[in-house]
Amino acid sequence: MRTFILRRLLVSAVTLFGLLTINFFIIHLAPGGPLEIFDNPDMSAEVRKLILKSYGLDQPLPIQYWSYLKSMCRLEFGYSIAKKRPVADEILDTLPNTIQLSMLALSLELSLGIIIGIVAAVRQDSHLDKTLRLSSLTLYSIPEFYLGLLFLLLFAGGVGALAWLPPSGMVDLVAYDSMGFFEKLADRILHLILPCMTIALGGAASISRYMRGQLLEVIRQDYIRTARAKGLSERAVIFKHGLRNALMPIITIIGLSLPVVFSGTVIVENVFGWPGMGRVAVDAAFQRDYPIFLAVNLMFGALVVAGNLLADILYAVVDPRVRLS
Amino acid sequence: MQKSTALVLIALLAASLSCTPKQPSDQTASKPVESATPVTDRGTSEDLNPQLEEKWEAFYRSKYDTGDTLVVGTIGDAESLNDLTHVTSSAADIISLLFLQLTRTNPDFSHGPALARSWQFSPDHLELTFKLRDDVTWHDGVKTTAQDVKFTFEKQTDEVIAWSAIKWKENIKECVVVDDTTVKFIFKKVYPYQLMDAVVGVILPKHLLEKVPSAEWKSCEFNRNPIGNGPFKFKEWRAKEAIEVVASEKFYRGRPPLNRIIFKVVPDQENLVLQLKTGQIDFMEQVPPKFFEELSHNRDLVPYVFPSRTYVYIAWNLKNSLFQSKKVRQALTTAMDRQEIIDARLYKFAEICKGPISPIIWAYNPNLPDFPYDPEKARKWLAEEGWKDSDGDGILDKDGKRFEFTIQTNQGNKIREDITVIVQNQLKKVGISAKPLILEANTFFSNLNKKEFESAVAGWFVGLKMEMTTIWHSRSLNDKFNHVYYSNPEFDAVNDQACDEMDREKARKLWWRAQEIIVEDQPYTFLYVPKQINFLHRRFKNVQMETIGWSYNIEQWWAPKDQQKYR
Amino acid sequence: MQIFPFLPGLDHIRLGERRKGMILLGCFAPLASLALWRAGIIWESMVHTARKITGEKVLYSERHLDIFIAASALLILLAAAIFYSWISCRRLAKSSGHAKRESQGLWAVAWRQFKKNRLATTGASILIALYLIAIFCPLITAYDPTEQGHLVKERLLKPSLDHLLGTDRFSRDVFSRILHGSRISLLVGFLAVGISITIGTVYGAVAGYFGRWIDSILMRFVDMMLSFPTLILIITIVAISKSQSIWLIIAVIGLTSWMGVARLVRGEILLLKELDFFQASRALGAGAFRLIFRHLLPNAMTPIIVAATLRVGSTILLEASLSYLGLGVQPPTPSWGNIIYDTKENIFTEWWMPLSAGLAITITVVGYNLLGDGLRDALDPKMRR
Repeated sequence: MRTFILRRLLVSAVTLFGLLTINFFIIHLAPGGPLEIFDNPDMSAEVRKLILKSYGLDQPLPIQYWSYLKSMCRLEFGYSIAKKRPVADEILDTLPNTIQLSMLALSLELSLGIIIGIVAAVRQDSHLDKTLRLSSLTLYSIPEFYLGLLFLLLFAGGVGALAWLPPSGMVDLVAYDSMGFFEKLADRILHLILPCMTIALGGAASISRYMRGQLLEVIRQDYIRTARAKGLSERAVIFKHGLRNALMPIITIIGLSLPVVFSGTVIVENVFGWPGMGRVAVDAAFQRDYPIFLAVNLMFGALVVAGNLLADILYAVVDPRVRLS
Repeated sequence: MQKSTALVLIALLAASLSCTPKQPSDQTASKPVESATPVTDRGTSEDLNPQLEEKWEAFYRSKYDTGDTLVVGTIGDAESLNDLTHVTSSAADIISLLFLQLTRTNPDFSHGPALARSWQFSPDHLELTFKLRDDVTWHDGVKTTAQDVKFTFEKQTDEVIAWSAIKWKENIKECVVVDDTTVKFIFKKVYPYQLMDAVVGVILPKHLLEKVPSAEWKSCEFNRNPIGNGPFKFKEWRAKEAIEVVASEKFYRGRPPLNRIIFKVVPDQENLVLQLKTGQIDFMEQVPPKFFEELSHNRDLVPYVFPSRTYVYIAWNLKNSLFQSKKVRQALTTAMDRQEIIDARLYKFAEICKGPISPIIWAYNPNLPDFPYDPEKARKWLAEEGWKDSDGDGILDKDGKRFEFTIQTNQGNKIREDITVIVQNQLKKVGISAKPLILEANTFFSNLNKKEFESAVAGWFVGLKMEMTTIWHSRSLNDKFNHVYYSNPEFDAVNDQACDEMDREKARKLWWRAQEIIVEDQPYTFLYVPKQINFLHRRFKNVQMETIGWSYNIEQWWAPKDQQKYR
Repeated sequence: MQIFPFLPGLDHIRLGERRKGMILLGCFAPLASLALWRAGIIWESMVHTARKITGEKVLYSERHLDIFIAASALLILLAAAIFYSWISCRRLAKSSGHAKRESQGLWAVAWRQFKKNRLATTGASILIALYLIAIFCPLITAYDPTEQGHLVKERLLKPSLDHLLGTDRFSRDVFSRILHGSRISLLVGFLAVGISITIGTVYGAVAGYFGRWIDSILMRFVDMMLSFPTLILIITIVAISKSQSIWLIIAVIGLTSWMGVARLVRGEILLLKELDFFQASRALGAGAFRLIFRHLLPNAMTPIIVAATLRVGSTILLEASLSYLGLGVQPPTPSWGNIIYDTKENIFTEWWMPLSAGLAITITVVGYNLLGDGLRDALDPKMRR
C-alpha cells in the first residue's frame, strides 16, 4: 500500500511540473504583455523598462523559466503585476471561496444525481423513469451561463418585482456586519443557492445517467439474482448489494470531473459575481499577469491532482484488486 | 477630492480588463439632469472661481441630515488604493475619497482650496508657494504637514516606483519645506500648466511609507490598507467582492453626511443593471445607452447625463498603401454615416466629433471643417484617386489591388465591436470591403502600440491639459502613441509654438490652426464624443455630477432622514 | 405498375411497407414543398450562377454561392429520393410474396434495436432535421443573416409574420440568424469531436497495443492533460492567439478533449488483446499496424462511436461558453453562442432573442445525447433484453 501511494505521489509531482512548464510557455509566448493595458503616454520608455526589470521580465525566456523554477522550489509565488500585492495573498483571499462553492456544488450534484439515478433505475422504463431521464437530459443540455441568466431572471427580480434571492456576491454587504451568527449563516446560504444550483443541476443530470446505467448493469449480475433468490426484500437487494457495487465507478467519475468542477466555476463566478479563483485566473490571463496566472493554474492543477490521488487511494482501499495492477 | 487628473491620454486602456469594459466605454444621453457648470477659459489660472467656492461653502451652512449608506455598483475590482501604484479609474474613484490633494479641481478646471489654504507664484513665476491647513490629520491621528508634501513629491518622481503620471512632474526642479505649513515648488521653466502640475496626485503619509523601500511599493501593505486624510476612511476590502469606506469623524470640515460608501463588484453587466432596478445598488456609472429608457421609467432612479472625457475614432495606418492618400482618407470619412452610428448604437447619447480636441478643453476649435455623410461624393473622390470597380465584383480596385482591409478593435467594449459591424456595412455601399477583427484587449492594444494594424476603432481619454505632441508630433513618430505614423512639418511648427505661448488668446489661435491641419489630413476618422449616463437613487440630495468626475462633490451628498434606507 | 412515381413512399404504402413509406413520404413532402415554395429563388439562383459561369460580369457574392449550394443540394436530394423510391419499389414488387431474409450481422441487429428505441429515434430525427435546416437555411428564410435594415426604424422589432423572432439591434432578422447559426454550432461540434476522437483513438490504441513503458509514459501524459483546468486553458489559448477564427476554436477544443477517448480506447484494446482472435492473427505474423487498424480498432468501434456522439453535445456547449466570454466566432457571422452574447443586453426586454438561441442549443445537445444513449443501448449486447 505504501509503495502504491509513494508511486502515485511521484507521478503527481511530475504531472504538476509538466503543467507548470506548459503554462509558463503558453502565457509568456502570448502577444501583448502585462504593461500593455496600463500603458499611457505619461510613462516614459525608461520607466517602462524599469518596471519590467523589477519583475525580472527583461531577461531572456529560458533564464526567466529557470529562476521561476527556483522560486517555485522555495514556494515563492512572487508579486502580482496588475494587483500590486503578493500572489499568495490574492490566492488566499479567493481560494477558499472557490473551494466552498465547488465542493458544495459537487456534493449537491452527487446526492441529487445518485438519488435520481436510483429512482430511475428502480422504476426502469416507467413514466417516472422517462420523465426523470428526459428532464435531466434537458438540464444537462442548457449552457451553464445561460442557466445562470435564466435563474437571475426568474429568482432575482429580473421578471416582476419579486427578488427572492440575492443576485450576486457572498454576503449582504450592507447588513452583514451587524448580523447575529444564525442570520449570518442564513445570509451566506441564501447567497450560495443560485450559483450552486447553476453548477449542480447540469452535473447532477450527468451523474444520474451514469448511476442509472451502473445500477441496471449490476442488478443483472448473478449475485443479485442469488440475493433475490434467497428471498431478500427488493429494497435490501438494491441498497445492500446493488448500490455498493454500482457506486464504485462513480468514485472514478468524481475524480475525472474535478477539473470540470473547478474550472467550471469560472463562468458561474462571472455571472453571479462570486469572488473566486476562477475569475482571478481569467483576469490574469487577459492582463498577462504572469505570476498570478501561473500560480492560480498550478493551484487548480494541484487541486485536481490531489483529488485524483484521493480517488485512486480510495479505490485501492475499497477494491484490493486495483493494487495488483 | 478629485478623480486624479493624472492621466492625460489613456487609450481607454483599462477599458476592458477581464471580460468587461471598466472605463469610459462609449456611452451617452438626453438631458434630464445636465451638467450645469459652463466651461470657461480657466485651466491654468491660479485664481479661484468665487462663485464655485461660494457654492461649495454654502453647503456647510445649510441644513442636512447625516446617515445612510451609498452602494456603488462597479464592473471591475480596484487593484491598489495607493495613488502611486494604482492604474484603473475604479481605483482612482476610491482614492479620491480617502486622500486630499493640495487643491480641489473644479468642473471649470479652476482650483479651490483643499489641503492648501492658499497659493502664490513668485514674481519670476518660477516658484509656487502653498500655505497648508494646520488642522488636517491622517486617519491614524498624526498631523498632515509640509513634510508629507515633500515626501510625496520625492516618491512621485522616483523612477523605481514608476508612478504612471511621473511625466507631470518633469518640469519641477524640487519641492522645499519652508515650515510645517508652508511648502514651495521650484520649476525649471515658466509654462502655462505650472499649478496643475504641482497639485496633481494626492498627498501620502510620510510616517507610514518612509520605511518602505521604493522597490517594495509595488506590493506593500499600504496598497490594500491605505490610511488617508480625506472625508472618508478605508474600512474593509473583500477581494473581488467589495470595498467599504466610512465617514471620517476627524475630517477637517466635519464628517461627511453619508455614513458609508460600499463599492460592490459585479462583473456581469446585465446582473449589475438588474441590481440597479431592484435597488440592491444605488448608483451605476456608465450605464449602456440601451438601458436608458427602461431605467428612466423606474421611479426610484434619477439619470445624470454629461459629456464624457473621451472621443472615439477610427485610425488609418498611414504606412498602409491603401491609406496614404489624403483624398482617400477624406473619402472614407465621407462614406461613413456617423450620425447613424450615434442614433442607432448610442441612442443619440453622443455628439459627432470633428477633431482631436475635446470640446471641454479651452483650445477647442468649434469651427473645424467637417466631412458630412455623402456616399456619392465619396465614390467620386475615390474614382479620382483611381479606385474603380473594374472586375464587377462590387469591390473597388486599382492596379489589380482590391480595396479590402480589416478593422480591429478590442473585445469587451460592445459599442466598439458594433461600430466595426456598422462601418463594414456602410463602406460596403461605396465598394469597400472592411472586415471586423475583434481581438482580446491585450492583444489589440499591443497591436496598436506596435502599429501592426490596417485600421482600428479606439478611443482617447482626454486629459485636462492642452497637449498634442504625444499623438501627432513627428518627434513621436517612433513612439507607440503616434499609432498611425502621422507626420506633418507644418503641424509640428504650429504645435511647438503653441506649447510655449503664455498669452492665452495667441495660444488659442495657434491651437485652432493645429486642429485644422489635422482635420484636413484625416489620419483618423473622428467618430463621436459620447455622453456618460449614470443612474443614482432618488434619495440622495445635493448631487453634482460633472464631466470631471461623477464623485466631484460626493462628500456633500446626503439623504433626508425619512428616506434613508440603511444605517 | 407504379401509380405515384414522383411521390416517394406512396408506392411503399401501397405495397404494404407502411412504415418505410410513411418515413419516406414524411421526409420528402416538406423538402418538396420547400422547393415549390422557393421555386422562384431556386430558378433565379440557377440562372444567375449560369451567367457567372459563362463569364458574364455579374455580382456574385458569398450569399449567392450559399443560395446556389442550398438550391442544388435540395434538387439533388429530391432526385435521389425519387430514384431510391423507384429502385426499392421495383425490388419490393419483384420479391413481394416472399418472406424477407435479412442477414443478422452486427449492424443489422443494432439497427433493429435502434429502431425500437424511441428516445434514440427521436434524437436521430431531431439531428436529421437540424442538419437539413443547416443545409437549406438560405432557402427556408429569405433574409440574409448579416444584412442590416434601417438601423433606427427597424431595430428591435417585436416578433411578427415578417420577422418570426423580430429583429436585433442591427435590424437583422433574428430567425434567419438562428437558422444560419446552426451551421457554425454543428460544424464546431462535428469537427472538434472528429479531431479529438482521431487523436484519442490512435493514442489509446498505441498505448494499449504496445503496453509496458510506452503505455506508462503515454498514460502519465494523459493524466497530466486531464489535470489541466480545461476551460481556463481553452480560454487562455483562444484569448491570446492573434485571431479568433472558427478553425482555431475547433482546433483548440479538439486538442484539449481527446484524453477521455484515449483512456477508453486503451481499456478496450487491453481487453481485446486477451481474446483468441487477436492471438491467432498475431501468431499468423500480422504487423503492428495491421493488427491495430484491421483487428483491434474495428472491434473497439462501439464505445468510440457512443463516446463521440455524447461528446458533440458538450462541445457545442463549450463553444457557447466561449462566446459568453466574447471569445467566439467573429461578427457578423452568426453562431448560437454569439447570438446569446450579442443579445444578452436584450434579456430584460426582448427576451425571446437570447431565449430562442438558448433553446436551439439545448435542443441540439438533447438530440445528440438521445442518439448517443440510444446507440449505446443498441450496440451493447449486454443492454439487450
